[in-house]
Amino acid sequence: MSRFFSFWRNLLRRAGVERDLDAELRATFDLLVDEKIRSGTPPDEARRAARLELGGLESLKDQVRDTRAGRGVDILLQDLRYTLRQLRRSPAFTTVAIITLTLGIGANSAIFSVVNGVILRPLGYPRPQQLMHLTTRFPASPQFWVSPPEYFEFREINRSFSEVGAYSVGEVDLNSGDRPQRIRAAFVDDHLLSALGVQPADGRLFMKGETEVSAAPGQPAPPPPIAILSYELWQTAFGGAPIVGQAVELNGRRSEVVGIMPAGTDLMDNRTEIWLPLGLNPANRQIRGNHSVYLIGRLKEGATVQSARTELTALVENWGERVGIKPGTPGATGHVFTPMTERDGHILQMKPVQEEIVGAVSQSIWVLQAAVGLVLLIACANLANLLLARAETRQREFAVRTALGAGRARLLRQFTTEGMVLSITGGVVGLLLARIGLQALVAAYPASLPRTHDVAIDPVVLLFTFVVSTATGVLFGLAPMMHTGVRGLASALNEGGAKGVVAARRHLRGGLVAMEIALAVVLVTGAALLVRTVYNLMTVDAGFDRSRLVTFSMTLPPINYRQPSARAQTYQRILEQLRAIPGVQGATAMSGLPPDRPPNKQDTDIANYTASPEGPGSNVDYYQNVMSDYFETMGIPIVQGRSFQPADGASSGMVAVVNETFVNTFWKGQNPIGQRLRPCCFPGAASASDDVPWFTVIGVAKDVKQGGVERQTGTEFYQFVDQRVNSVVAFRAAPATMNVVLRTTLPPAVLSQSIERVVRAVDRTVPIVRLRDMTGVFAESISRPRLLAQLVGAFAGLALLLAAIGTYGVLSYMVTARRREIGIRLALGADRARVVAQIMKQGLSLTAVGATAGLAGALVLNRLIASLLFGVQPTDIATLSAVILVITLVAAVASWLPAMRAARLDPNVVLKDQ
Amino acid sequence: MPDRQLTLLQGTLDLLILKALSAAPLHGLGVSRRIEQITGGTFVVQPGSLFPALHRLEESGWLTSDWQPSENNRRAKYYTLTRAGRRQLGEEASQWNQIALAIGRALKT
Repeated sequence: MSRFFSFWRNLLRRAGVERDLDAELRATFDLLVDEKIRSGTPPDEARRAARLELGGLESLKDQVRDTRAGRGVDILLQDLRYTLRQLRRSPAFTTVAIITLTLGIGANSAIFSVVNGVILRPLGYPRPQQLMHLTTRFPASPQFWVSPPEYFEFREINRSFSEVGAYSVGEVDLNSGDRPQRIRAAFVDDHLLSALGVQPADGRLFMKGETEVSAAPGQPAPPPPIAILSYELWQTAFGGAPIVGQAVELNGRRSEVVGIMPAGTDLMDNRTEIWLPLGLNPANRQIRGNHSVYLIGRLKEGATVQSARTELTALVENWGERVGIKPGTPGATGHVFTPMTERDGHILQMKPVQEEIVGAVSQSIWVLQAAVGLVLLIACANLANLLLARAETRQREFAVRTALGAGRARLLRQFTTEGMVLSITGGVVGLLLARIGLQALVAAYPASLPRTHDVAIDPVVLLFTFVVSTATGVLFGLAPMMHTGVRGLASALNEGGAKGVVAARRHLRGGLVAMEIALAVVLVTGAALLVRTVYNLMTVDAGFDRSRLVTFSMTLPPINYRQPSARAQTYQRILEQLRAIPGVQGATAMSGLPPDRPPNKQDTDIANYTASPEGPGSNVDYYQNVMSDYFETMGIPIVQGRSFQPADGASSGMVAVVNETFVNTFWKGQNPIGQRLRPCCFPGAASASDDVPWFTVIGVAKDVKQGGVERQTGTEFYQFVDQRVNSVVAFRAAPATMNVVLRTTLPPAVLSQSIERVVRAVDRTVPIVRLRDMTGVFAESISRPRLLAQLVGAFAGLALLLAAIGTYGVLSYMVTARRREIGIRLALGADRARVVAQIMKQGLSLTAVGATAGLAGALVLNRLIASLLFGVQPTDIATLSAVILVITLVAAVASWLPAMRAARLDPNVVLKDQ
Repeated sequence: MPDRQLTLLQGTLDLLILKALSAAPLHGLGVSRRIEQITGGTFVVQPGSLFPALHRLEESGWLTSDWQPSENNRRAKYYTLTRAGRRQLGEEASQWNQIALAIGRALKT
């Protein structure tokens, strides 16, 4: 019989094996007795002698068992059974331990899934580390678009990339079935698709040259009507039915679906639903100031990020010379890359694509991971404390087991098994919790995290959870051994023999609690700073009255509304009907919705201002096209002059409103009213500004937030759509997509039907998009800091709770252990208030030690989150004081409960008890 | 019992058990008595050593066991040397002889 076979037989047919052994030993005993009787010993004597010679039957069996194959597994199973019995016997302890571990490990697994999916996992393209994202830079804009001529030149002269493509992102209205919807689009050229290396799931991608247009500059030239659907859109909007080769209606234009992207394929975390041709004109080498695309390049084999960066720097040194343009040429051709100086320069820069996608958010994610790590540490400390307390009540049990022959190793195994059973259970339940938590997180904040598609519980996360659970189990499971040792255990049999051990252990437990408090202080401080940040962000003066505003977006496709005036008139008609809805006090529309919209950075001729190398360039951050009643409806104060009036629409002299920052930047110390300015080199213009009329400033508006509430307000130039559609032919324009805003006391849900009725009556193919109130718009603009604050806040709350439980646990244990002493003191006439004070002093001194250490830690660690804060310093005294106050209060409550119990002890009962 | 002595004994014990069973199948007590007999009373094997060793040797495939009636009509578990056990006996015996020879020679000088 082989050892392998025995292993399974021993495990699976334990009863049979045991019975056999028992029978064999009994038979041996009988044989021995027979033998002795035969040699003349009286039967009774023979039995006694045989029993003596054979030794204890049970210990003999144990010796045989020890030699059996699979003995390790056997012991493990035995330990497991024993552990489960022990845990069942103390359900309160078990429940607390498993809940603590579930929360601790679950939170860690959930956050690690985010770390893993967002930061660690490579992007889903072939050899993704070769993909680089290219942008440009201006002194005032650290990251800006690239203009088409700059892109064409770079594609031709670089030597580091095997392919470079261009893209921009936006939205289009898809009119399929009965309900039109707006979908997220990526506008790409064929070079971009080949740089990414994606293959279609069905049909084909864009072919060479297919995404380009050829037309004389200034002539509108729509890109070819073709489209690639994302797999997800194909499923949701078309039910996965065959669609390649058929046409869909996009912004009113019929476009042929040529292919389907594979599931999960995206571009720069745009959550792209449809891929459309970018429509650049390769012949356009003149309009250099119209920065409108980003680039993605694939490094050649052998090229490194370093070598490509070196090449970029070298190219920028003498770009003009390389492409045949003299730097500094005024007008449209002036935008040539030149090295950065403090006030000047314009360069091309690159970053690995994954870094670009994850970049800003990775710090927040690591902060979260650190926070949950701390929570788990606190949980470990708490459980170690619980187990220590349990170990004390289980002294006799251990001592008995030692006396019965359990070695130190066996007891160690027992402790580890107990720890592991708890932590693995916590890990398994924690994984379920993590899964639910992640789903809720992604559902609540779909756009706050990049790559949510990649956030999942995958084998890496499972491995992480397993390792964390194991480490946790060993860490706190072995805590009782730290001060016990088997020697101490042996002496525990005779009561009172382990006083020194008990004292040392009390110090250990106090130390663990102080550590918990210190860690909790670190977390609570961080959370408090982040919550202050969110509060500051929420209460920033955005420059307009954000209460009682409802907004939505809509698009009048230029294909159906060819004339700008037709678009403007349609918008006017819609606005008039909206104003007529009961409960609506005002309505207006504009191109860019505050407080967070992309900048325009439009080169602008500004009279009485000459750009110098030291001062800002003649470039305006934001252009805003508004309809009538804009300032009145939004509640934006006009600080000087007047706002647009209906009469301005018909007047031939173009009028403009600028913001305060504009005046302070360009016309400091001058009267802005009556000053003139005009757009320069705007898209589609044949040449410089010759065809563009001058605008006269009629008013100055208060600054309104544009690039996010946390950003400084940029310069802003308001134009009146009602007037622009009546201006000279070359400058006639009206935005196709507008944001409509209503001042109303009604909530969006109540208004939605009326709004839909109004818009559908005008054009039933136009979807109403993002209908919500302005509070919602603001909330979304700060959703990422809010998410961070909420999560860290939740973790800090958990840490605080655990630390409170820890403090409470240690003090109540102390009260129980000192019942007798307290009873005697009370019997001798000690004041109950003094008993309370004494116990509370113990708790609060632990807190003081912990809080001091925690504050020191917080001052060091919070500097790491300084860049995530807004309007509050990491060393903010008010926040730190508040945290200390909270911690002290919590500790006071946690100490007061056991203290009161001590004071209520009845000396009669206590002293009789013993 | 210190470990070193145990391992030394264990090797010896295995050899002695295999040798004791080489003539005929025996039950546990029989093995013990047989060893006493063939070593002239030098080795008295305690049950605490004997039974674990028997079970270990069986699991290694050198012995098989079955229940048979004993001399005075009781049932007892009899151990029989297998073919592999016989081979093992030969190996261990020659190994032991080498060691004994070498030690003897070493002690003579």
